[in-house]
Amino acid sequence: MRRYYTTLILSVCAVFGLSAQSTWSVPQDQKEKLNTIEFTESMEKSGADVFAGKCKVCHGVPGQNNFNALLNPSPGDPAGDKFQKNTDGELFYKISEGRVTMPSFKTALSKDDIWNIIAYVRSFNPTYVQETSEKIETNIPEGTQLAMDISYNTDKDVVEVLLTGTLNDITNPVGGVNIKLMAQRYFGNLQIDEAKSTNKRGIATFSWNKELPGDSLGNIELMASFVDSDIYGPLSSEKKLVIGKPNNNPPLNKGRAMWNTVKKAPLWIIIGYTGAVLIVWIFIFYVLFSLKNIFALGKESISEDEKLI
Amino acid sequence: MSSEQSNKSNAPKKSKGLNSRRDFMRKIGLIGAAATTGAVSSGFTSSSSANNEYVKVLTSDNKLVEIPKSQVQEVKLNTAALQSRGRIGIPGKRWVMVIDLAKCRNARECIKGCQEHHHLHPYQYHINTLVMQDNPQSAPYNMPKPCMHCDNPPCVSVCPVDATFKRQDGVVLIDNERCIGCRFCMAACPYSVRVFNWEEPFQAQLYKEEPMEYDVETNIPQKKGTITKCLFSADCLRDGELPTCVRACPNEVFYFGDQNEDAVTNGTTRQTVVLSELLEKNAGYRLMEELGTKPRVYYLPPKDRVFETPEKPDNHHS
Repeated sequence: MRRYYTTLILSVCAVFGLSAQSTWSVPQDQKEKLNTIEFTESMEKSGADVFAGKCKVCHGVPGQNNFNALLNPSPGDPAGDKFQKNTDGELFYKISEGRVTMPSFKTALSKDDIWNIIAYVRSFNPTYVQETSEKIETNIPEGTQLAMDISYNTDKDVVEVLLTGTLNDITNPVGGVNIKLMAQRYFGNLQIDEAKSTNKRGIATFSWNKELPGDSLGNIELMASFVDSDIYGPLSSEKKLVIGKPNNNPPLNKGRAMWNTVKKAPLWIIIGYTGAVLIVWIFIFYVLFSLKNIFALGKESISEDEKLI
Repeated sequence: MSSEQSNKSNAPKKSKGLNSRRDFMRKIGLIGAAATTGAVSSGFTSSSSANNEYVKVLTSDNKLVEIPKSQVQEVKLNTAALQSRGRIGIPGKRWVMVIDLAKCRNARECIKGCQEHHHLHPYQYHINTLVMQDNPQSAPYNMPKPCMHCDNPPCVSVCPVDATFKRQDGVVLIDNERCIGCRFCMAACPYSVRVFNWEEPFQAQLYKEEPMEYDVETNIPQKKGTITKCLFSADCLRDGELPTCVRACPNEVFYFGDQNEDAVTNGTTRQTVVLSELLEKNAGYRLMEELGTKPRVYYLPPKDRVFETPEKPDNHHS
């Protein structure tokens, strides 16, 4: 009986699971997203390169149905109907956000790379006709020179990014623009806080974690950029600020350990050890020398008057 | 006495190779500048004055210059320079790897990438994914297992010839030019991550055709009768690139980074996260903590298992 119930529950779960997996809802505004330029052959080509490196492992070669069928949800063939029914915006969203077994590629790939992949995938669909979008309108007048400045507010312990726009030699703060702040790390940039919108004074405020390590002096390289770089352009601002926790950790092979070579041994151990070895050897030689002396003494002839017995 | 001598010869010398390479680059820059200014003053452009062939060269300060083909010499670091560079490591770094077991789906791309990078036989693993099942009731999970690059490495303690060593950035490497093949380190390693080259290397033919300098940061060329092991792709780290296995993974399993920066980067999504938070929030652990080897590889527990139990346990006794 118990087994029966378990099977029932499992199958119900499976049905729900399947239905959940078959729908991947994409926000409406993302769905309608279109590329501003038409796909070209060179875009398809570079898309193919990126596809071979990042997507092929699970999705296989498009059109050959050799995707990894063991994965759940199934990755599917990008040339297949199910894939091609997606709008460009849906594909873009799914590649950049990911879900369950599909990783998110929004940091790993640039927006151009993702569009190139879509161009490549679309090249397998003969019926596909691309729509392109108009340039997006912004509230900033055309010809405005944008500039960002990063500073640290010691009173509030926050990092502030000031966005200004210059038009006809008049500089004004620009509000209502989303900005993200990153700290430079060795293999990639670490996002600080969340993306923030600039206020009326053109300032976006990011809370700062004082525990974040900098270099040996506490320097941290900060980078501010637009969230919507396709609207506002690729402008970014970099600045080195002394706001990190100074990091003076010694090299990992500096301390003394069993595995360290003789170079790391202190002088007193080297002298003590060598001294002890020398003393032992000197003692052994002294004993041997004494034995030799005794033996030699035994060989000497003794005159008659010296004999006691 | 002999060990002291060997230490001396082993001490990080001023790397001649590096200096000569820099000098060469500087010279190229000068020659290039001279060539271009010469061409301008004589009224010729560099392409039209091409009596002898010119080649384009990128200088160390990222300038594209042209120099006569006859002046080009190929510069390669010699084994000694590579060895001393490999011994010193990268200052100010403490490499750390985090493996998220919940994400591993046994794609084995890390293994493929690694074997290709280090010219290994298909049966030799610097990194391997093991199928683990803790008990008959629980579903199995996959565990990638590279070298732990311990801060207290037993393998280094037992090496009689100082062939295997720990660097300042935490990487434990093996110098195949010094290794005598005694396999003490294999016996000492509690994680069984070291591999012995019983046979001629996989790429022996390639080595014969194109002799190459031995690089201690890749263990290439591999050598019969010596140990080879996971190197955290030390050559990639030098170039600011993530290790091969980390980059190859399609399932977001690996994070790699610098503990001094308290940040690790995922090899698949390239997202950088705070290391201490990642370990704290996800109950990160290290293998065989009780041995005191202090590994530099952390694991995140395998929650939400994706594979089913191969054989459901027999419930007769319950």
